[in-house]
Amino acid sequence: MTADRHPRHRLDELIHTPVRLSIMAALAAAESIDFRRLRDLVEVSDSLLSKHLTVLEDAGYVDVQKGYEGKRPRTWLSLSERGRSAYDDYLRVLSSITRSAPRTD
Amino acid sequence: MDRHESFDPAAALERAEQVGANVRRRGRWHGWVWLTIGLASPVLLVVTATDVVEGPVRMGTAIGFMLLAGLLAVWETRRGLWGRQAARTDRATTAAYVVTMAVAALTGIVGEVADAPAWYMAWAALPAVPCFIAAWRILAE
Repeated sequence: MTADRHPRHRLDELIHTPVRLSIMAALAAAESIDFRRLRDLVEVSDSLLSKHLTVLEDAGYVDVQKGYEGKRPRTWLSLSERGRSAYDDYLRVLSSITRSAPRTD
Repeated sequence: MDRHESFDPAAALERAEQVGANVRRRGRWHGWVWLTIGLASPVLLVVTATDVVEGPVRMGTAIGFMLLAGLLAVWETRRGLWGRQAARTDRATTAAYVVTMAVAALTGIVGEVADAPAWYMAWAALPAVPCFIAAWRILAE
């Protein structure tokens, strides 16, 4: 097998980092999540979450909806169709890699 | 964070499952809201429309139900997480609940139900049906 054909080359690099994967996994399991709730779930700072969300939003993976609840601004986040499909593909590739990996125990 | 901070596939898969399970567990909370409303609504209808309890208890039950509904609504809003099954189920459940609740309440007003006839007890349980179905679907997710 050549290096090009190994499934790891099909891993979406946009998703394959700890924080962005956590964001995608959280949003994939929900319809929408509030910014602060997502920050608590992923356990990162506001600024780090914003930075990663910008990357995912620019890629068209995440939809951002801003609004107000009373006088308080609120930001709701959800996966776009494209994001959901990219995340499903990413999980499929991950599964194929872990299935093909030699056992070390 | 860039590509050099990426991690091994097994850890990534585990992380994805962990976060997903955590979010789904939190999203299931909405099922408990429907279950609570489903249990409280028949009690409200029977207590307010019949003479099974005295006036002050009747008033207390009505106020208690409104407080409970308000509390659940505020809590729900503050949770900041909307589950997938809840999103699929909610609109139809709310519509069915409002209709059955209105019909049961109207029956309690115009019908002769002061002595709590069995048919009215069954009728008053009707709004609980969509609530229980929604609760079951969300909690089973």
